[in-house]
Amino acid sequence: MAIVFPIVTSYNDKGTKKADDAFTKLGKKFLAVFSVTKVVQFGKASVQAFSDSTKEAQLLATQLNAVNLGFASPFIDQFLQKLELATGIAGDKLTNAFISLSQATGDATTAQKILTTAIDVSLGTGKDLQTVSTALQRAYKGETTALARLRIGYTTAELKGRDFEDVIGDLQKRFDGAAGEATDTFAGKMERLAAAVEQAKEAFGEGLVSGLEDADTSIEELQEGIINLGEALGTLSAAVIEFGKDAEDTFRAIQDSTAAKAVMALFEGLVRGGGFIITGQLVPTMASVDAKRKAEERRVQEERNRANLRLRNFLLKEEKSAKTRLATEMKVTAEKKKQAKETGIIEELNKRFELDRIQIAAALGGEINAVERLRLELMQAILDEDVKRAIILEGQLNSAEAAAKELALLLDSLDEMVGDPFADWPGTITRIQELLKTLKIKIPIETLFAEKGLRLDQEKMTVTKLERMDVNAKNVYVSGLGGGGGGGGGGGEGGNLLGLEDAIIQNALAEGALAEAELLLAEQLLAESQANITVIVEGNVIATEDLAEVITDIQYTYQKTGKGLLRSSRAL
Amino acid sequence: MPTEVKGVVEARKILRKLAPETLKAYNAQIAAPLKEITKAARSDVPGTIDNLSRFNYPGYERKSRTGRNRAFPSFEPNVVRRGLTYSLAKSKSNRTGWSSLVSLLNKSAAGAIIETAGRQNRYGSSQSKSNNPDAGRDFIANLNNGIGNLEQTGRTAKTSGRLMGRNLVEDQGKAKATVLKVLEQVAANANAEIARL
Repeated sequence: MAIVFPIVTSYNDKGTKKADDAFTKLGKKFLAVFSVTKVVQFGKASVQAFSDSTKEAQLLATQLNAVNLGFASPFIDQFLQKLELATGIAGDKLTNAFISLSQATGDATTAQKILTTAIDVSLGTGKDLQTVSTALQRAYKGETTALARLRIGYTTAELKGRDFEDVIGDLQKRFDGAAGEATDTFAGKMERLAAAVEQAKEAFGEGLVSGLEDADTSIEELQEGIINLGEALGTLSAAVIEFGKDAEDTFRAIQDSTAAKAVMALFEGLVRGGGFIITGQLVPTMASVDAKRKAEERRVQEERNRANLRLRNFLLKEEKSAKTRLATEMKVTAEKKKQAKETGIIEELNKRFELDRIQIAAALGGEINAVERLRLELMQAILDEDVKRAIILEGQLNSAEAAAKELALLLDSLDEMVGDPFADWPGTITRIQELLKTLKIKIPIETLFAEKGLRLDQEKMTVTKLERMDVNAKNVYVSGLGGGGGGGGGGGEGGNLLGLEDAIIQNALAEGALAEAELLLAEQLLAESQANITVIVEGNVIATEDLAEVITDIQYTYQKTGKGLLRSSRAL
Repeated sequence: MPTEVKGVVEARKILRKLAPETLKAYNAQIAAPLKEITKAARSDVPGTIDNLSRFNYPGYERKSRTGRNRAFPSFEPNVVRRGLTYSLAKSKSNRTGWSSLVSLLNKSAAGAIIETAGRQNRYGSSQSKSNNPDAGRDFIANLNNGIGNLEQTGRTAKTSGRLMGRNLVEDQGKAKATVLKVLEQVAANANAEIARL
């Protein structure tokens, strides 16, 4: 264990809480104080009172019962305790004196009055209280010898001629001041504290009175506080020493005890009137306590303000945050809406770029019959997932296919009808025309008949079989003799036709030679220079095949106009 | 005799929280006089103590005759010197509620014996277990000769000492005055810090 030499120490009131509670209560009420010495005297009186209190109380109660004053025992006990604290006279002496007086007077009030006078006389003359009280007791009964023997200024003869009340009043007047001087210790001050604030002001000075006024404390409270303090000191002293020891040791122990030191420290500080500082001690003054309290209040207020400010900031922040969130959500919603719209547009555009759709669209743009158109439109409807339109188109397609089938049957039956003299050519031709119109087939009916080796005369509504068929790019025309079914007149035209044929052949040969010459020229030109061909395409070209298809279509279209093409550029 | 000062712990707490650098500076100011005393006390520790050969013999193995776990220690100057120090920390309260806020310490076992031997019984304890009836008296006498007499710092004999105690007495209260002065400043500063809140 280390050896400790404390330079500065601190006192913790944990162990002696009771004593310090009393000390604290008292300390708060005082601003002026007693000297350390007087506190020790006070401590002596209070400890004595405490140690003998039980015995005295019991004795008092017994004796008062004997004179039928038992009912007043608690009050008299309190009075004696107060008197004991005020005078410093031991409790047992006071009790004995009071008992003897009460036995003589049979009245507690009178006994108290005489006892007070006896104390004054005792303190004023230095005579023993018991002796004085006995003398007064006897004087009350009419025996004035004992009072005269006290030698306090009365002779036996004088006393015999006077009333006891008169003598008591005289004694009170004479010894009142003396008793005050004798008790001008802490006990005297206690008495004055118990009596009046004004007396306390005189005794303890301005500091005490201001303190009392500031503390808003009554004298009774102070008195009670001191009594409590005395009790606490007694309790404390009982814990550290035995009561059997002599008074000096007892009070030294009390003086050394923590509570007594604290009390003395406070009292000394208060006596100095400045308020607080004991040498080297940082006991706060009332002013500093007040300042500290105000500082604490200010701190609490500031803390509250800060809390309010924090709350306000928090709410503002939350509001701002909520607004930001709302704006963000609105922005996101708008963005999503915009994206959805754009996606729709893009999808719509993409549809236009899908290969199937492109091919269908391209096919629809060409020269196609009704059935093909309906098929393409139906495919388009299926791709578009347009069910309603698909159903309608399917019906139309079925009708168109039926018509196409009928047309095919009619055309197939033409060969048989040629040899049939009863064939209904007008009805058949009319029907074929209707079907061609229905199916939007733009091929001339004559061409269809010519493909079957037949020649149609729409004016006469007759059909004859061809021996030879010539077809040019512009139209289909027929030369040669009819095959019988159509009637006569065909033989006379045979020679003309043959002559014309030769001419045509000659012409064709000439054209062929010219074409070869053009071809040679074109090849030569092509070999000499790089030809740049510009192809304007309406639509989109995704693959090479698309371009080739477009060019092919152009060539076909060109061919259909009957204009000649170079061999190398002719579409096959 | 130590001086009671109230509010130091609170003031230190406040400063530690609000102005730690200030507290550090104050601690240094408090420590300065304590260091001087400590230094002086350390210089009083001799290399060896005459006529106490067994006490001077660190390697000597002893067995406690009083049933304690630790046997009587040997005197090792370095250990004793190292044990002479000071503390600014609040000690644990004793059973009467007192605790030291600023204290000088003699921590080592041998140092404590040197510091306090002869306090209770100037000529050795009558309950000594030694075979030599004069062992206690001789031991104390040799300590008095080798190191110095006990000096009383407070009102009772229990406050006396040979190393720290004597140097504290020789300081004549200067250290205490300095410490108290600084503590007053600590308190004033703490109040100022609170007022500033």
